[in-house]
Amino acid sequence: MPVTLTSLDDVKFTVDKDVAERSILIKNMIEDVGESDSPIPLPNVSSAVLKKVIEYCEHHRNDPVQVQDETDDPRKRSNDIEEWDMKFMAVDQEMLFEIILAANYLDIKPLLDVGCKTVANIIKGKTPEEIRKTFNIVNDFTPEEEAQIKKENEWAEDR
Amino acid sequence: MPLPGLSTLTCEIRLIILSHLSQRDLSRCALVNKDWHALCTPELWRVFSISNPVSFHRFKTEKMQQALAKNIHFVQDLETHYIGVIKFIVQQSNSDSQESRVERRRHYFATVNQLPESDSALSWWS
Repeated sequence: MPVTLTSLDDVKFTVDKDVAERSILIKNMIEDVGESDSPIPLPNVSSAVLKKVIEYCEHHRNDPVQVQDETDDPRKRSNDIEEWDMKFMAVDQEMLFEIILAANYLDIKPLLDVGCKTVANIIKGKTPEEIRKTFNIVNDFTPEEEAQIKKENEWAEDR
Repeated sequence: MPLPGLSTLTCEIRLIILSHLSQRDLSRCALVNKDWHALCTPELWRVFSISNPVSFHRFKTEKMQQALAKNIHFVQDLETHYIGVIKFIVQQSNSDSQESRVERRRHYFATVNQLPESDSALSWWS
């Protein structure tokens, strides 16, 4: 049975139920309300972003449900992103963060993870100044504070 | 509404991003600005490693020993050969009297003298 989703800017998307239910938020809503023809409003997600999110959910509709292991240390996990996801995430920064926010709101854990990994990969190997430039962040340290913190954290560069 | 950027992400999401970074990358992120510093410092110190004399010698000054004492409560995973002296530094820094500072220096130098002499890293120590 198809489900209709309505975006922030009032665009309607009709998708299969199993695709929509990749979102735990939507899955719970459907369970709470029961089978219904009325569209599900998603007032936090614009149509441009919702279109992307649906594209992801359609591609991953047959993935097994992720079993969450709380003791799992992400540092020991691979940061590899599968090829399709990598291409899917090759968007501008604004869209990247919009997708992450939508994945968080809609509770789509694998999409949130892949978005966060993509941002982590952008940060990797960059100097503080390069990170600031990349994300348009203003440095609010005094030169003295910056020097002090640099010294305090220098041990991390030894590994 | 501001454009979505790193700063519009919740702390929870930013912590997921940081969880994919090495200590080296975290130490650089901590230098970006005050906001990032506050977020990255606990993550950075969570895995604290000083396993060679070069790293150890970074903590020879009082300022660095205070930094160690200040952040030691974040440490969950400690990789070091100098557990005794680290405990001592932290204890002494927390009870920061003139007397304990003198004692701390004495203990620190005593430990350093016990380190293997063959280590070239020690040659600059005076």
